[in-house]
Amino acid sequence: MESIIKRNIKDLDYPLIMVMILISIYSVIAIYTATYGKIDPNIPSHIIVRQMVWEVLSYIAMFAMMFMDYHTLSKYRWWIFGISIFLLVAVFAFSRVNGAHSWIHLPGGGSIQPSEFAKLTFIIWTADYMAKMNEKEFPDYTLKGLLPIFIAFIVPFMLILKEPALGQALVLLVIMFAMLLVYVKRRHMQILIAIAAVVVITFGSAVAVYPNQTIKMLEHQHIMPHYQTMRLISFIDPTFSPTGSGYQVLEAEIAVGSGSVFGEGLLKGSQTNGSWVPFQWTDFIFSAIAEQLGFVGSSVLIMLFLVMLYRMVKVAMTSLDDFGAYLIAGSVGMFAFQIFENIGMNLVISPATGITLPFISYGGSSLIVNFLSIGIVLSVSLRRRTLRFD
Amino acid sequence: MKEINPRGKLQPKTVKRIQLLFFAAALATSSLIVRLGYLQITEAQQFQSDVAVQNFSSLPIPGSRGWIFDREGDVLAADVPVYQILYIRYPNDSYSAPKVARELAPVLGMKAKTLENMMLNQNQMQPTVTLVNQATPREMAFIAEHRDNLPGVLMMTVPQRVYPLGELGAHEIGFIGPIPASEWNQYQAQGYPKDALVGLSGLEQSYQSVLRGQYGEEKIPVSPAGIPLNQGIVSVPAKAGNNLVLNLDGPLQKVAEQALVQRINFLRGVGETNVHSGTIVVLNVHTGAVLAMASYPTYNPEWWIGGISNQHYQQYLTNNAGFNRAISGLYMPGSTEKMLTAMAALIHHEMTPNLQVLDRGGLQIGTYFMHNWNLGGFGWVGLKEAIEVSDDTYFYQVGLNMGHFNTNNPPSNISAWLTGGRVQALNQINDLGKKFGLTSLTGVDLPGEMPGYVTYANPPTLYDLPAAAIGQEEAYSTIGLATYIAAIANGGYRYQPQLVHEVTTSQGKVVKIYKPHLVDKVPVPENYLKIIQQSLELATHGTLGTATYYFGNDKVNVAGKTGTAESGNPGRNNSVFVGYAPYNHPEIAVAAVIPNVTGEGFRAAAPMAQQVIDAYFAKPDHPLTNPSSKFTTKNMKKHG
Repeated sequence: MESIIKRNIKDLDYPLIMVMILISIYSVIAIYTATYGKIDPNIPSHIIVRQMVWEVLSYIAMFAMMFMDYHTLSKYRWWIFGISIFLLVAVFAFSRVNGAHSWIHLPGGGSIQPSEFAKLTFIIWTADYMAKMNEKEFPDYTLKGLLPIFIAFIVPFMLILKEPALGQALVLLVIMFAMLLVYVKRRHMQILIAIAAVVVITFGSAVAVYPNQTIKMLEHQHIMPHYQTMRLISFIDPTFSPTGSGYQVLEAEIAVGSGSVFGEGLLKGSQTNGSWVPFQWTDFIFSAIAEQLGFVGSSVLIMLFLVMLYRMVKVAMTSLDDFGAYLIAGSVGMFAFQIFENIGMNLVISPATGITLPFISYGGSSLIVNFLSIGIVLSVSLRRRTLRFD
Repeated sequence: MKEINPRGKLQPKTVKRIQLLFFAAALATSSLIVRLGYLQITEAQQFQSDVAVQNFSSLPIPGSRGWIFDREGDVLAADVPVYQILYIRYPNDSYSAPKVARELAPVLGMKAKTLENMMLNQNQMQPTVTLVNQATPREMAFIAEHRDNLPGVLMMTVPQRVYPLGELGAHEIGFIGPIPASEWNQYQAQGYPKDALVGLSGLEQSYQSVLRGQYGEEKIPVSPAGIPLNQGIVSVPAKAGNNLVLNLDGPLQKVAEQALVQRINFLRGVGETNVHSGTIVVLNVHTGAVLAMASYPTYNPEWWIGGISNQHYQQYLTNNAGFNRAISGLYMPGSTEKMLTAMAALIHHEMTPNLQVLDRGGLQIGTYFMHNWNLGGFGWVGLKEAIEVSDDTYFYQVGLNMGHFNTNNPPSNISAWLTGGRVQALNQINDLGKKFGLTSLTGVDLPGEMPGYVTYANPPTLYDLPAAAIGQEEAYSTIGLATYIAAIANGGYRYQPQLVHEVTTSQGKVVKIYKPHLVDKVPVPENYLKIIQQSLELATHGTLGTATYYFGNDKVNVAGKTGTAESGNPGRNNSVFVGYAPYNHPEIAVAAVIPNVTGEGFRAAAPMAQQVIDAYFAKPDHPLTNPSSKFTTKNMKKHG
């Protein structure tokens, strides 16, 4: 074990680590400036200290994960998956925060968000299932063989939806989609893409052409809770309720737009530093970056994310085995969707769903989980070479 | 050495699929950059102006209301700045109110819960709520020191109405208050905000459009937390309304009001407990300028500032104190009617100036015997003596003459007479009354004036015409009586009584002067008017003059007439006096009324009229008192 690390340390994906450090710097600056001098009681006290502590813990977790052989995950996959399901159930024993049972409150004031962990544990379990299937003498790529994946998906999916945390549930769906895309046989992949296209197009056009009817139906059939349909309405028409559900979106858009090319400067954003954007330190953190650092600063962040995804994919493609590749594919899907969805809602090209911006938004659970995912990628990168000629 | 994985590499399919996944992710990410560029580069200007608009909190600043001065320049109504403490509500800030309330409550002497409730729930549709109307220096100092902990709390200077002389001229000045719901639409059309204060009575009401200040605006750059940002405050200054300079003579007004109160108190002191109200009006006979106008009971206009208290409101309602009896109260004129009767008969040639009537203490009309007030009668009397002694019998006869009713040979068809000759005679009185402003509106620049009237009794009687001839069937306002006596004094020119002399800007520049407004010239030839004037002088100076007791030895030579009318309460009479002075070169006309007295007129109205006349001519700058001051610039200016 020791020796492998020593021998392969050169193979470690250093650019990925560099990118992660740069992204973390963005995060600390964004949270600091988005909460500086504000008196909003929703802001956790000493938010910037908390965030930095979480950053440190996350890096420790990442490196620990890196040094640990990722195959160990395969060994404990049932334990990991089981604990995560237990936590998703346990969540309902705790009081709601912002209207949802999403947190488990720990003694001492902290809290954890099991849905964050569920995403990663689902990736681990599914990657292992897929890899094991590939190694079988007669792999079963039929629908029957896919059934356990669907079951492993549907249980946490329904629990998360029940919290309610529609955004997190959607992330889980996208993770499964991304992993299946890499795993299934050609025919199934075509069907998969076709289904996704049909769902997106049908829903999109229904909302665009018959917004009110669609939204009423969604609410009536209990597919979406009221607050979520309001968000959807406000996405279609932010002026529908400019001081209610549309307020956050409108203010965030103004913040982004007024940032212009070079931004208004740190702590000089009239929207951000005038606290016009509620909950800017979590879901709408990107608007703070965009206003203060402008197009230049915020597109650099998007480019950093793109580089991160590229490095991840690169590691996946040179992975020693399928298990590593599938693990990374799941994470790539998770990150790509969250980045697109979160920044998209700041830019009003996707509806607000309560998805945080990975590595940037305030929040301990998501930081830990996201960095653990990167830790897995690094662990794979450390173990990808099969032969060395010293 | 670890065993090499036999597979070693991924299937090409997996690699391809991962590439596909990355391709999709890269596409999505690029679309974000495109959108970002659109918002931040193409549309940036629009959003920057959005920021400029919303980061200002705009507060309307009421412009101060015009002041009201008396003719000497003494302030009757003014606007003084007071500091209000406001709380601004922000749409996304529901959490700072409890904190602010806790911090502020002890200083304002309130419970935190009460204050918080006020901040959140009072006038919910308004973006701001007024916490304190007149901040004390202590409260202001506290807020200035703790402004960082008091987001949303703001101090604003707003004008507040004050009436430095209190009750003086209350009915004329009036008062201000919130717009009544019934008039909201019409004020809204003129651009008044919902919480504006407007004149509700008196000059404050009739000159509302002159006095009103123009709203300004204060645009304060603030964060939603209430902390002003670095940019400066943009102020659109409020504009003060225009001032009114009145014809009203403050000191004379004071004398009139005091004389009225003293007289009423005196009468009550001697057992006349039904006496509780009265009026005095003083006009300039040559311009119609209202020099004094007193109505009792009265009130203090300051009661309305910041909302009237229950105690004051009860006081206001008691005896209808808000009612300006001088213009809205109608009283039977009694014998002061007799000049009008005489003039109407003269111009319609129903009598000659030489008419003599034998007064044996009354007149028999059909089955009715109508008494003279002097039951013994005055014997043969002419017109001048009849007015001097206020002979009722003489005027019964004049009235009957006007109706062509011969007491010795009554018309055979009485009912035809009742609707014919009688009505014609009443019409003649009524029509001439209109010319004098008695049965028409005088047009005084105050709201709520009531026109007087002549009663056409129904069912008609034989005696109501002679009763009308001595002023028992009419009801006139005091301002109407003053206009009437002024027109008699000045040779028949009826001027519109006018309280406001000029309008000036807040800097004192004159923008409008109300010139004397001649309403009409009464159709009474000069020689007849002369006879009436002489009669009035006899009434105040003749040996038998009904007012000689008061005016017999006066310096300024008052001419006038007392009147007593049965007010409807048995034994309760209206006491009326009309007069002018000086007799030869009249300057002022006075009308005074005290209703519900038991005695004759001289016991009530005449003495207080005398006090006011004396005060007017006792002024140090009056030419009769101090001839050298006659042509001072002050006088020339003030009297136009």
